Amino acid sequence: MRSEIEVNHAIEKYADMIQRICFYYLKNQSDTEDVFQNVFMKYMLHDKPFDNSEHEKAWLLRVAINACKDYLKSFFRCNAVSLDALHEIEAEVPENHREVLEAVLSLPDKYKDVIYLHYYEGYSAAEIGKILKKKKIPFIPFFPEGVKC
Amino acid sequence: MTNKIHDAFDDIKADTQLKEATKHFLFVKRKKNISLFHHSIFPKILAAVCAILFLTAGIKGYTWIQTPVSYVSIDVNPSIELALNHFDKVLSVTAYNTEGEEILKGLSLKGKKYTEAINTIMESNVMNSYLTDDAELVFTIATTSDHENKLKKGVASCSCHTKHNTQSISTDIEVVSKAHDNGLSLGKYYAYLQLSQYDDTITIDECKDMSMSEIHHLIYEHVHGTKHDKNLDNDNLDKNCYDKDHDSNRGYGNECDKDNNHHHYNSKKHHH
Repeated sequence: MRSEIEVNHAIEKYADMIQRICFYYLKNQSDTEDVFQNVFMKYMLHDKPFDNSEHEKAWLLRVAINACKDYLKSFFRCNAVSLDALHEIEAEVPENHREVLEAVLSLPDKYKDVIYLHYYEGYSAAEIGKILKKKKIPFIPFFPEGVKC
Repeated sequence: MTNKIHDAFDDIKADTQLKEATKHFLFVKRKKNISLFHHSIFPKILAAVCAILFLTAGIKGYTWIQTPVSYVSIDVNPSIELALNHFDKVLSVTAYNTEGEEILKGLSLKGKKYTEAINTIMESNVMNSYLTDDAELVFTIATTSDHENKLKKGVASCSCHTKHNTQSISTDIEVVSKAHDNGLSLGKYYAYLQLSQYDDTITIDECKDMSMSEIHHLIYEHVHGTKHDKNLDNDNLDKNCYDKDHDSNRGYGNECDKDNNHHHYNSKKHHH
């Protein structure tokens, strides 16, 4: 089990990233909190050392994305009342960004990983393939590096 | 497009409340996990302690069984000594001269009951060749006082006991280590101690090469103050100059009172 200091440091460092992923996938603030806490609990219980901070970040990204997908598949989530995520953070997001977010959030699920990891985190197709442990990632017309890993 | 997506996502941040709630959540989980760890490790420690106890008990039990507590020395001229455990089973058999070694060749005595081991030794052809009419067979027993009678009865019950000029002697267990230190069997060392009461010049090495009847003959000579020709007087020699019970000699050592022993030789004579 990782030390309290180590975990708190990771929360401070990666909280925004995990929050973005949770929000992006779940579109619900209360669900976000559950998954957010679970991701860091997994981090706390993960004993294996990371090679470097990039390795650590990639691990957290994969865990967060998988946790969100698992949560979406869960029984409780299927039966929960879905809220409009944008309404919840309306005050925080400026008008011009809200439209972009709306467009991105409305994309089919299969593109979500790539959109976020490439356009926000700046990963290449090969890196995305490694993080998601997938041999193929979906084709996106404006994706600069192609789709094959 | 890239910048717009990036900027749009950049507005989404984890608030301090969520971070603090997460830290608290993990703090509680950690405490539960630690206590769970302690609970789960307790049975392991208990199991380890039990295993150590069983192992220790096993080792102690094995050591207890493998510790010699009694010795039976069989001396004619061949000198053989049996070391017995608490159950009177033979732990080891030692020959203290070449004659003894000859007898033990091919005999498997370890683990046998001492009476069975004695009978096996006495029935061997090599041993029988030493049991001539003028030979003396001496059984010397060293054990704890509460076990002495049992061993004496056991030795007396052996078939050989009635067939030959046989004596049974009991002595203290402390004599055993002194005998071994001097490279003698218990029986021969005891005989040497008896003889040395009368003859200061006698050495252990001299006794090593003597048969029991020869040592007893010398003792007899000293007791009676006469020189006997062994060959001539053998029939007249009181072969049982040793006391069968020897209770009066418990705690006997080199410093034993000569007068007492003198009395002992004269007054406690038994024939088998």
